Amino acid sequence: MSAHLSRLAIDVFVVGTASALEARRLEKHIADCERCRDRVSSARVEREVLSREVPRMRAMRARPARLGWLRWLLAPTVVASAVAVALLIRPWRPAVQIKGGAAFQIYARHGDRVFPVRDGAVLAPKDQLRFVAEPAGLAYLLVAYVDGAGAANLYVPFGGDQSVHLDPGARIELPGSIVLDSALGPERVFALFSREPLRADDVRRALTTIAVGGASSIRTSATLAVAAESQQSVLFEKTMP
Amino acid sequence: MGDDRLATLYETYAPTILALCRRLLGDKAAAEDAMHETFLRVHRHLDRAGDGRTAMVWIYRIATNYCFNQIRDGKNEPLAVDVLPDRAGQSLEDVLADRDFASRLIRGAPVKLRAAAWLYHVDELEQTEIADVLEISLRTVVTRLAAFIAYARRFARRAG
Repeated sequence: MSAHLSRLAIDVFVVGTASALEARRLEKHIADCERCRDRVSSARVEREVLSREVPRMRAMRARPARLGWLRWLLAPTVVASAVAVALLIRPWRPAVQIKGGAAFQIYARHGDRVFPVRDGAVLAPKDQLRFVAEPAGLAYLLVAYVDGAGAANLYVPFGGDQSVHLDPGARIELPGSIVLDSALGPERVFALFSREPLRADDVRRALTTIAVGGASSIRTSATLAVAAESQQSVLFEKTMP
Repeated sequence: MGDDRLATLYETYAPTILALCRRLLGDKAAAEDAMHETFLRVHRHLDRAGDGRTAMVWIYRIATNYCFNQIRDGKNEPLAVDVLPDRAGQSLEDVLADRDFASRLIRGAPVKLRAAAWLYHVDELEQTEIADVLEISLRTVVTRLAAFIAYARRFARRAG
């Protein structure tokens, strides 16, 4: 493992706690090694994004209450062979300010079963997904995905060119549902909350840098290099049932 | 004084530790909990923090130990081995070079070997760095890595 810098060494370098001697050694290696240069850049972006996500030290951390899923079952479902999302976004509850920041949850339906999708969940082709967002003050949302087949695009707004505007104080169930296609392997869904709308092209570009790294890159890239004030991602694996 | 020190450590290292916990646990909420638990322990033992790199390695150690305890206690459910991709026909070295595959294999390995194997194969730490982070001797690091390779070979044979 001596050919490249370890993750610890990269962290030491990015945080800036290396001694002068070690910093020179690391700088020299990074100047000569493209792979480590890329990793340092990724670690910098990750640090910048996570710095915004790390809660303030004395801030209360409130978890949003889980939504009942009955409403999910009752909601009309849009089914298509690949992917279908309704474009209409409307709040379905009165405004609630969430102290813990913006939140995003995916619910999946597999046969008769409905369950929240947590990181690492195993899903199957034709499973249906619905999204619930709590913008907590951030008025724009864009939901995007990248999968093991190399596909990288937007789920919300489907076919749009920038983030959708949401009632920033509401808990919003995005209407319509996604039907998973038959491409197997990992898929990561990113929810990007922002004060100003993000451009779809910028998001697609950032997704592509993950897609080119293949399955392993999708599984390990939890953050997207875009200017979202708050972002969350969920990874799931599509396998045959 | 102590609060200032804690605030400085938190500001400097919290994003790095959150990223580490996410890599280890996969789950965002669990990672955030782990980061908080880590800094609670930092707060309790602030006098041991040291400076610069020493402080960072110390906090790394606390977070790594905490996360592997969570995995050991089954609070963070590992993916089942049977959903791992088919790796027949590849050498063990190639298989372990896929860091994602290695990390999942490690989660099923004997508890004592996991942290060293993960730091080596996934985060690519050098053996001396692993000894530093886990506060164990270099000899113990070498032994555990060798035992992990033996485990991985048995697994590979079984899978093949």
